[in-house]
Amino acid sequence: MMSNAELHEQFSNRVKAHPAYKLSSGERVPSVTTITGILNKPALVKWANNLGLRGIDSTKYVDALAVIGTLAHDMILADLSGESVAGIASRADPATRDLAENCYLSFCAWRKQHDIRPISLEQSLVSERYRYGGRADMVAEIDGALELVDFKTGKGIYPEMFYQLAGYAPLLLENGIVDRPIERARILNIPRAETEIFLEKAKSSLRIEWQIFQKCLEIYNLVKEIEK
Amino acid sequence: MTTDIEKTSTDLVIRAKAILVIDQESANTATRFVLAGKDAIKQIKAFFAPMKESAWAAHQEVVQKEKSALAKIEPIVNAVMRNVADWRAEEDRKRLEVEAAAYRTEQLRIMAEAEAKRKADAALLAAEQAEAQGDQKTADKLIEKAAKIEEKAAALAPPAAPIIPPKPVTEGLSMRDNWCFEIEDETILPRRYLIANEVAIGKDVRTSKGQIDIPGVRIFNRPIMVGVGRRN
Repeated sequence: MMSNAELHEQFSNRVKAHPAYKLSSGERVPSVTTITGILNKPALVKWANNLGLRGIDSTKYVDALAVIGTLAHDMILADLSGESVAGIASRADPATRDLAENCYLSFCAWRKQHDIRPISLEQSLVSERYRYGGRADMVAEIDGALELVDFKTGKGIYPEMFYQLAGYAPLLLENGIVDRPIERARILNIPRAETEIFLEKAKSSLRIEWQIFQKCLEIYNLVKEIEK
Repeated sequence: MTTDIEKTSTDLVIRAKAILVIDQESANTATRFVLAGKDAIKQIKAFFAPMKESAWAAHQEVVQKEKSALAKIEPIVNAVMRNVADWRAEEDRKRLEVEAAAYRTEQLRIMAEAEAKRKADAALLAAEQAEAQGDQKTADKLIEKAAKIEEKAAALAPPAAPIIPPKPVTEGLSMRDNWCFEIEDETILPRRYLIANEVAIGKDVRTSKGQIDIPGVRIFNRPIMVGVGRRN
């Protein structure tokens, strides 16, 4: 069994081990999260400030919660891909495992209410046309509609989360992962602690979010141009 | 009468300060004080009871009058408000439909563009192969084909912004979310949404005279003093 620190390191390594997104020419391109990362996230600033006022170090708090969130995320994706959830859970210490299992059970309760047929799970993709890469959590037929789904663990669902999904959609379309337009984009917020709640939000159009994403990409590229 | 009440109350307050129960004699004094106090409380309640009753009756009468006055207008206003809300909801639905259709068009464009690129790339690859085999004529044709495909793909440039219906305006009236709920199966409700039924606990504790074991509940007796065998 791994300690929290080891688990966090493993997850961090996994994040670092993400293949750099490259075009067929070998040129490296930014990821969706790097691109949307240029946006200021007011909710995060307020949240960190609140933690500070309560005397909690936001970095340590994020680390602890991130381990639970990442483990829960992995358990959900293992379940969807037919892998052993117990095997994933056994990597963590009992306290982390208990909390991550709570998240997983929330997901199971949601899953029970829907007919879910996964098409793609965490597939790394690159757009030659728009020159960026990314990895959407899940594309699936949910209750008959083609959906793009992102699993979040946190306090809420914020508009910028949909900007990220808007970036994933063209990757799936361009690479032929889906053979028809995406009908719905859904974000599921899975609670890690008593203070968080299960939330879901779905949108049938990401038209404006896609425009915002393209502007972010444009700004990102311009900034890189200056930094050259 | 109110002066009498005030005098009695003041007197009781002064007497209470002097009471300290340490032996039988002082306990007798205290008991007499308690009984006198209870009498005073009874008298105060009796004094105010008719006033409270008439005030309550007057309040009820006013409430009734207000209710019948509102009964004429409120349903009409609410019905019109529902009409406005329905119209707004329908307009919002239409707007979202147009938005979804526009997004679908944009996605179809991305798909078509990718498909065109795949075809153009395939044509260029075939042209390279033809050229390598010395078939320049075929290679030229394929290059031309790829150029046409690319030209066609370029024409698929982002469509003009769709005409999204404006958000409905109802000046002075705004819509706010009103999330509601109904419990379908309380056996699966998370613990944090349940509250202890203290009325039922209290009833069972009293009925059993404390001889009941309820997990998570400490049962104890806190005797209270009551007056016995007295006449008004």
